[in-house]
Amino acid sequence: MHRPDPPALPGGTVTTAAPSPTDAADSPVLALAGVRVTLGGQAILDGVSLRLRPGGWYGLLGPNGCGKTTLMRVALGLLRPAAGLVSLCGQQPPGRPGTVAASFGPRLLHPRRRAWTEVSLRVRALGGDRRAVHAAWEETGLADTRVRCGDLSLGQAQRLAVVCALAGAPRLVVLDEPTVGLDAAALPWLRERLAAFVAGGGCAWVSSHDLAEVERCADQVTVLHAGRVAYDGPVSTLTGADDALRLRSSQPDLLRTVLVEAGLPHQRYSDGSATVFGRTAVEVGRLLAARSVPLVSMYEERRSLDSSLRDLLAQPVVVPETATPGPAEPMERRTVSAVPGR
Amino acid sequence: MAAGTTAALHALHSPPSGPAALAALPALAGLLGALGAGADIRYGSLPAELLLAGGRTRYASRLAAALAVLGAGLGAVSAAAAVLTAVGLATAPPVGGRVEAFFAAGAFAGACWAVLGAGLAIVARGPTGAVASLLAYLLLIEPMLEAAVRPVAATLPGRATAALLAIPPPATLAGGGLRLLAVTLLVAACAHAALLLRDVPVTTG
Repeated sequence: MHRPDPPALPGGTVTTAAPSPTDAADSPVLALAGVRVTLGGQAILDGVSLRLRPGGWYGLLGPNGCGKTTLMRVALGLLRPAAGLVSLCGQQPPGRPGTVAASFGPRLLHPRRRAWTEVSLRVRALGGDRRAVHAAWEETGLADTRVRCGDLSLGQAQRLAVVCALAGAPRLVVLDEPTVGLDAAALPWLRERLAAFVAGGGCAWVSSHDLAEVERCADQVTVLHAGRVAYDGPVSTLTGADDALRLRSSQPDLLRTVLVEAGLPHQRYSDGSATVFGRTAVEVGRLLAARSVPLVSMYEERRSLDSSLRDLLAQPVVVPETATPGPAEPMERRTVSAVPGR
Repeated sequence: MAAGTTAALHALHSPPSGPAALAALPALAGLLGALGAGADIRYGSLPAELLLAGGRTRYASRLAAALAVLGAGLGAVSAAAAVLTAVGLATAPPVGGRVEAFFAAGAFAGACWAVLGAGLAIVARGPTGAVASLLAYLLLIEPMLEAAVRPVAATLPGRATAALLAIPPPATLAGGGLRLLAVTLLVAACAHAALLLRDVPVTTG
């Protein structure tokens, strides 16, 4: 499957994800290839491809109106794309009953139905017994079994919706903005619940504007921009946490000279410090020690997901060369000597 | 009030006597189906229900089956009300001893109209349009069609229901029953096609 190369990240490093030797054993839960959705002649999504594997926490990010919810609807078979392939657990979506579950918001519940009834119906429909119903009910955090869904607060309804989506342990759970309305006590619950779900082999695909949560929890993120995939890979690569070392020396001129002579990709700052890309702390430390460069500090420079995302969305989206999906390309990591300014 | 009731009963082709509940059965069962099927669309729970069922066809089948059972129950209750009304009025038993056939006819008509109402709700994308369409058809459109196009009057669902639930019951229930079933299946097929072809929204209807 062809995946478009993301644009150059800050630091000049371009990384595309690639199948590892173990991937063959973990066939994707969800595979989209070249998905195109149009509305009134305008492309809402254009050439979107991605893969979600079991045991992963995947984030879906992008500005309002970029097509996140539309993409989720296509993946679940709720919206027919104009072009492209969609495979859910190896089948046409939505697959077998209970294979995939979703929550598109806290207010999409029958308002006059009791919350207990909602939970009970959902769990029973998935083959759960009385104990499973009680366990699910405990997770909602609600005390009154007579309360109706329409009388719940936003946060309570959101938590109820997530509990119902996770009932029956589906293979894929799709959550659209699940943190909306959750209070400080419920956020850790959601975090732990999804972590347990993923640890059990489930795949969570979460669209969210809560970047702190995504940065904390996601294994990989997909960033949509203008209907296309602007980035698809680990959060750490997007934020540059993997390969950015900030150095500060009491002799900044010597530091600069050593870095230039060694040919290390780096960026210098007005205060004399420098950020080196694509090298480990051990490598850089040995080089500086060999050249007797006195170090004041050396640490991994990690940008927030928020600022990384803003920089990414400010760049033009790379259009893939081929329109049709092809075989997956091997991972390649290219570093450039000329580092663009941040 | 009495004139309006009489007009309504005339429109439903039933005599203004004891079995008024039977005269209202198409509307009541149709409303049951429309509201039951339209709720998921109205409250935005359709995506979750489709995923839970494992597909649109499975969802439609389960929905139709559930509403048919409820409609059948409503029809049986209506038939019981008609019989009890006649007994209470100390008139001659209206069904000539064919009580089982009468109840079966009531249940069948209730099931068909519930599925019809559900189909209308899916086609109309919600309960409001379905309820309006159903009532408009029963009270206005079908009487006008009967007057304008007499040869096809017998095939219309209201007329077929009236023939099925006539008192005393007809010698055979097949005529009206088959015509009503044909219309029901036609509407159900249209609703299924609409459900398959349309995109499913993730907002309230």
